[in-house]
Amino acid sequence: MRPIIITIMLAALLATLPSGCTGAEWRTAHAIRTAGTATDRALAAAALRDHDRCKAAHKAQTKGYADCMSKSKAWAALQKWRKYIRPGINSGLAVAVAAFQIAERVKGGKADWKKLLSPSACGLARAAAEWKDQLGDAAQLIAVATAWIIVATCQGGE
Amino acid sequence: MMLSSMAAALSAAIEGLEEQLAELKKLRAEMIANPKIDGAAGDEAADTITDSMPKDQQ
Repeated sequence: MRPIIITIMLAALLATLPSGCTGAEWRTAHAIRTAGTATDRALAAAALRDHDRCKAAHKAQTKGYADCMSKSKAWAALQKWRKYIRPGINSGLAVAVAAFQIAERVKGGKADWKKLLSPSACGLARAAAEWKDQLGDAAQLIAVATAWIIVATCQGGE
Repeated sequence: MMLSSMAAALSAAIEGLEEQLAELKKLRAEMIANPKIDGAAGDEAADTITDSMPKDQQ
């Protein structure tokens, strides 16, 4: 194939990329979602291990079981994750994805993906810091998905 | 000779870019279709544990 043809093909290929899209925003959002799913699974597995232990020691639907589970850090973590952190990450991802799409439709538009993804990434980073002993392999995925965060951006409730 | 090796290198680079672009398009489509974390495992575990609690604590 002639180099000129290849160069034209290369230019045509690059032209198919959406405006302002380098891919970093989509890759990072996807990495956050993947790490979040792994976190959900890890916390679920840890809580179920305690459930099995408590169920074996006490019968289900007894005060003994309830007391046993009330001491489970994994169960407390899963409840907090489902009630506050996971919904927060999901809202942040939905807003960011919508903003990325809008930016693609605007000629020369560019979304500030780091700012848009910071709330979700900070939520995950906080989960990793709080429950790192229960996250297993998910902790590594979180570390990769949030490596770009500047710690200062996570302060102030984001 | 030099031109043909340059063409081969460019062709390989294009192939690599095409693969990256296809992967990026897939990620983008996935995120647009569903930007949320898959919380099925957490929800199922929470249901199992809640169902095992005494009735007055469910």
